[in-house]
Amino acid sequence: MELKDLWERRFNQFISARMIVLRRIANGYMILPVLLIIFGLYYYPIFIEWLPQEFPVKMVVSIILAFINSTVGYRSLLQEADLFYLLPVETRLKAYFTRSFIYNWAVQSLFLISFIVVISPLYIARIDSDTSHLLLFALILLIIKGWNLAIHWYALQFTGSNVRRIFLLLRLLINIMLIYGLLRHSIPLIGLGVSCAAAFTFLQQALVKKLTLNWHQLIQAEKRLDARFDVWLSLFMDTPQPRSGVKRDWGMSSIARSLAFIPQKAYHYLFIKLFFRTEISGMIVRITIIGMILTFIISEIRLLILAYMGILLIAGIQLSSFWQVLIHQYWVKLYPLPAAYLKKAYLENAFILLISIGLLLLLTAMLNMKSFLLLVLMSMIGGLVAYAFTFLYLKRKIKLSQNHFKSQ
Amino acid sequence: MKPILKIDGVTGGYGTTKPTIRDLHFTVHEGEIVALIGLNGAGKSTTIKHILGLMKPIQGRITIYDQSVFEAPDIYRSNYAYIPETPIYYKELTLWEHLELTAMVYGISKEEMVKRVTPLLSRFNMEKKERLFPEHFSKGMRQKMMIMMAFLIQPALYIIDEPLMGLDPLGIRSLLSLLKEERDRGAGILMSTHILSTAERYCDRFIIIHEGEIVGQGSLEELRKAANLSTASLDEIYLNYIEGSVT
Repeated sequence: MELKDLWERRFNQFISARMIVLRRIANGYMILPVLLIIFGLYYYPIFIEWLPQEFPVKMVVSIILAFINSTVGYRSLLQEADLFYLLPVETRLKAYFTRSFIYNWAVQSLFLISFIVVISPLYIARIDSDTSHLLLFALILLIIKGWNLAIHWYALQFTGSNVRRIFLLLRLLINIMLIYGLLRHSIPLIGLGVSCAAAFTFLQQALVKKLTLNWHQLIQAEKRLDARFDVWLSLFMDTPQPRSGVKRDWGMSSIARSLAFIPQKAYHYLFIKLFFRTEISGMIVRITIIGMILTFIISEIRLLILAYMGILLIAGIQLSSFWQVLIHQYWVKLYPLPAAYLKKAYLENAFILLISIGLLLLLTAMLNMKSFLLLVLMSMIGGLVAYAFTFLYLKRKIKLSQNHFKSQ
Repeated sequence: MKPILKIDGVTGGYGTTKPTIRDLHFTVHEGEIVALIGLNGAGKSTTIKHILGLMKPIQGRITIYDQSVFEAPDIYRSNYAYIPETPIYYKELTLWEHLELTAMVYGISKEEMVKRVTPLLSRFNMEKKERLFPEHFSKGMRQKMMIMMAFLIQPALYIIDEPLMGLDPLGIRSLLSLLKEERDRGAGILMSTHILSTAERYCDRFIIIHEGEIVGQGSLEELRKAANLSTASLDEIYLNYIEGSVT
């Protein structure tokens, strides 16, 4: 195989593998986006109308767009074995990496455009009614996206995650400055943002000159994206244990310390340690934060309760994939503990997590609404949703998955 | 010596039409080290998977202290510790957490765990690694972690698959001395290995498996007698068996 065909070959393999999986998901879950669109069409205009005039739309939209623009992944389609086979021809891989850059830009731009489409009614209603300005804004955002991706590519050449974190933080600030400047039509702010971006690029280029291609980081970045895809995929189908690295647990896994040395709690201990150190906990945290923001800003009671239940269910669906993580652990098959302990640990911990998320959402809802009656109502609904989801839905799902394994 | 593991007419494998192992009979007693030796693909790993209870025999019965894994899974599993050929670990757990979880699973108290683990950590030179994740370990260090997890349990039976792979000379010495100590305590050890010189020095009995069948078993003396090679090494006897000169 010619080196110049390498990207095309890998890209085609990657896309065909993804398409098989996505087609299967689309067959089974097509109803979800349809429901979401119907829900959006009904509630979006109500939401725009309800949004108070003093609500800082420009700032909130800037922050969300800055997040989407800054948090870039980089898919190079590199594999571990490339360290041996491609390393010697590194200097001849410029075309390969250029194509990978275009691919990443295209895919991430699609996501960005989808988000711009979603916010466009809000933009026209509250920011600027001129649609040509919106188109120009979208075009500039795509250019900013390209800059972010380029900076991230060079950041991947540095060893150590702290450097990348600092670069990410700086990019995030520059993005907020630029996007907020664009939305406010503020030339000084845009000028400042562009100057900062130029200075940052210049500084990074000066530092990166001394470095060679960091194969290890690129392969790790690829693995991180695979892990994220696995977690997402496990929501829709039974998958083997998702590939993922160890995630920083911010001390949360130390909760398990209180369970240490109680044999009946061994699987509770394992659940807590694994949960807080895998990507699933990160997803749950993100969903909870979004839920807290929603319950803090929604003042219409029916909408608030709907959002509250919706977030709990989304978090629950995320948790449902964690069963696969537990049962695919090799040692679990050899432990002299009843299989019922594993099921019990999973269901109890899932219930505790859902109740905790429910409490956090309740807290922000109460800061917003300050109604005792609503507190009682939402507590009851939250408890009921958490209980029904865990001890009816998840329990049944486990039973089905156990039958599936037995029949194999 | 009381028998611990009994393999009685076991036939098994990945399909029913062509079993990987056929009609295996052998026993591991208390206080003995038994080597399971054979070429790649001879059926050693399949035999071990059957003993662990990960595969169900097509025919025959496997028991540890007369209990089968299908009748009393928890009692059966609590009687053995397993050291895999390739380290299998939770990448989300540190070395210490692996040991802590193992202790919990096997009902070992914190005091007892610390008492057993401290000399193991020092023996394998891993005291400074206990708070690290195995992802940051070399293959040899991961293998040491597997060994420490098994020896922490102090079970009746050890099932060890290629134990010396990836270990440094000090690690090999520590493992072999631990095996001797455990044998003296009364544990039975079934060890699958390719390193025949070490097996000859440390094992009491040998089971030679070839193309899924046991072609010879016994002590070195018994094998020499059967092969009619009175001064031969295990290497020579083994090749003799494999090449089919002994029937």
